[in-house]
Amino acid sequence: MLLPTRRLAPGEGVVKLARAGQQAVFETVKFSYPLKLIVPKRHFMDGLNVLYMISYGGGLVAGDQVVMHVEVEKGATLVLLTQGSTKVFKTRPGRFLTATPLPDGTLPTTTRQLLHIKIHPSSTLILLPSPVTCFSKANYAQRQTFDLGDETSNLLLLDWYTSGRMGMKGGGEEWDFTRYRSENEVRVAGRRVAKDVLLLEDEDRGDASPASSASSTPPTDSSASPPPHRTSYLPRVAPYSSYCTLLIRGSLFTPLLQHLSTSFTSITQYKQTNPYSLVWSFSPLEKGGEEVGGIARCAGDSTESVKRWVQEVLKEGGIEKIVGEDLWKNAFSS
Amino acid sequence: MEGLAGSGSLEQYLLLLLSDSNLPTGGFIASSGLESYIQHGLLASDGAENKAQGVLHFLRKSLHAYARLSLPFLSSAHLLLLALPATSSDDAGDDLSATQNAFTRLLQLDHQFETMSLNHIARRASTAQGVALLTLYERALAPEVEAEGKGPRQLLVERLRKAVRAGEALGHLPVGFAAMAGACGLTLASTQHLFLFLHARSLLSSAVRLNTLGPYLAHRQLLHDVRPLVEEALASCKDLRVAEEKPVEEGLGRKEWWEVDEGEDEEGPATTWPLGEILAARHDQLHSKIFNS
Repeated sequence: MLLPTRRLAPGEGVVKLARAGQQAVFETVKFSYPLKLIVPKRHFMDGLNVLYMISYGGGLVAGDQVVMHVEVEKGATLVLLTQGSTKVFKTRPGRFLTATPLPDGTLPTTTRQLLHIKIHPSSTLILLPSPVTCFSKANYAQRQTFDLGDETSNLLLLDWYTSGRMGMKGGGEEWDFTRYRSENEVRVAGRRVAKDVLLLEDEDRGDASPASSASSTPPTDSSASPPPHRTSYLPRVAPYSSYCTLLIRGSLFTPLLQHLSTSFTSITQYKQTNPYSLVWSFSPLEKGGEEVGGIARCAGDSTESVKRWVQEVLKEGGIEKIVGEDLWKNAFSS
Repeated sequence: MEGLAGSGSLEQYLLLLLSDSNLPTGGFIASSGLESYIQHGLLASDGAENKAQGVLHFLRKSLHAYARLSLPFLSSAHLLLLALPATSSDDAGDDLSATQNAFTRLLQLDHQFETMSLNHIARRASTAQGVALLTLYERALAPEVEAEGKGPRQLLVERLRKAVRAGEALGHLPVGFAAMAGACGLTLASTQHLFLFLHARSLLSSAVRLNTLGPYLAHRQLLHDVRPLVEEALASCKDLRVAEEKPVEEGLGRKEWWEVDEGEDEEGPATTWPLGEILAARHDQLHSKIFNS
C-alpha cells in the first residue's frame, strides 16, 4: 500500500490494474516528471488494458532515473508499450534535468530505468516497448524485475536495443555508447527462475565506470583529429546492429512457445561462408522436465529486420489474438 | 596454503596434473560455440585476415564472456571451500555440521548459475563437465581415508555429488570445478588461472580438431597469444563475486514491496557477448558437427 502522504520522486510511476467484471480497470496511475503515463481511452479487449510509458522530450539524459512499480491483479492483462524508441542521450556533465545527488554529493552520470512488476496469479503482463537507442557516449542501465505469483501468472517480455543513431549525418553512430546494461529477473513464487544480465561496456574509454565523475580523456595539443574511437565491446556485437530478447513464461503463451520451438528445431544450418543478415535462437526453460517458458534471441543487420522478425514470431505465436487486432497494429506502428 | 597442496611444489604438481589433456573430464566433446561460430561464417568477420587470426578473435570474445559470467561463480564457490578446515577434526559429526552453511550456499550458487545460463546448449555442456569433475575428485583425487578421516572439504564435495545424483543440484562447471580445486587445496588465484587457461586450451584443441588450426600453430598461439588474453580476462574479473540471493519477504518494516529489491549487482556475473549466446544456442541446428556444444 502506498502511503497517501508520500510524494512521488522525480521519474517515479505507480500503476495498479485490477479486474472488475468484464473489464480491466486501472486503480492507480500516478507519475511524475520526466515520466509520463498515458492510458488510451478506447477499449481493446475484455479483461485487458493498455498503458503507454513516455518520457518528456522523447528521450532521457544523463542522471535521469525512471522507477516504475506496477501491479497486475488477478484476472487482468496489462499491455505495456512505449511511444517511439527510448533514446538515451550522451552523458552531459554539469547539466541534469532531474538528477538527485548521490550520497557522496556527486551527480549520477548513468541514465537508469527500474521497472518492478508484480504479476499476480491468473494475470498477464505483455511488455512490448520500442527498442532502446543509446547515443554516442551514453551510459544506460535498466533493471526489470517480474514477480510472478505462481505458475498461473503469464509474462511476455521484449527487450531490445540498437547500435545507435545509424542514420545521423556524417556517417552516423554505431556501437559508440559507453555502457549499456540490461537486467531482467523473473521470479515465480519468490524463487528466481531466470536472470538475464547483458553488459556492453567500453573498457577502453575512461568514463565507462558509473563511479568515475570526471572525464579522463587526456588533453591533446595535436591539431590532427584522432582516429575514430572503437568501443571495446564492438567485436562482441558485430556484424549486427540490433539485438532482441523475448522472455516467455506461463501457459497462456503455450502457442507462442510451441511456434518458436517448432520453427527453431526445423532449422538445418549448413556451413556458411558469410554471416546471415539475421540470426536467432530459442532455448526452452523447464521446470521438472516440463517446458514452462522459453527465451528467444535475435540479432539483425538493422532494427527493421529484427522488428519484422519479432512481429512475425508474435503473430504466428498467437499474440495478435490475445491483444486484439487493433491494439496489435498500435503496438508496432511506431 | 593448506591441505593437499601443503607446499608450493605440491601445488605445482597438482596444476600439472589438472592441466593434463588426458584428464577424464569429458571436455573434449565441447567446443564452447566455436564449431557453430565457424559454420555460421563468422571466422572471417571482424577483420580477421586468416583462420588463425579468426580463431584468436573468437578466443578473446569467448574468454571475455566466460570470465565475466563464470569466474564470479567459480570464485564465490571456491571461497566457500577454503573457509572450511582442510583436515578432519576429532569429531566426524562436527566436520559434517561445519559443511551445512557452505553446502546450502553452494547449492544456491549452482541454482543461480542455472538461472543465468539461458542457453540450453551451454547449460548441457556445463553440467556434463561439472559433474565429471566431481566424479574425478571422488574417484581419483580425494585422499583414500576412512569415513571419519574425511575433512569438511572432502565431505562437502561428497554432499554436492550426492545432491546431483538425487536431482537436488545440477553440478554446473564453475561450481564443480571450484569444489574439486578447493578440496584439493589449490589457492584461489591458481584455481582462477587454471579455470581460464583450460577454457582457452580446450578452444584451441577444438580448433585443431575442426581442422581450422594446425597443432604447431595452436601451441604457438597458446604460448604467445593466449597468455596475455588469459591475463587480461583474469585481471578484469578475478575480484567479481556472486551476491547471495535473499528471499523476498513482504511487509518487512514500512517498506513498499518494490523497495526490498536488492538492485543491480554491479560486481556480479553478466553476459557480455550477445552474439556468442545466439550462435552457441544454435549448435544442435548444425547439419554436420563433431562436437556436442
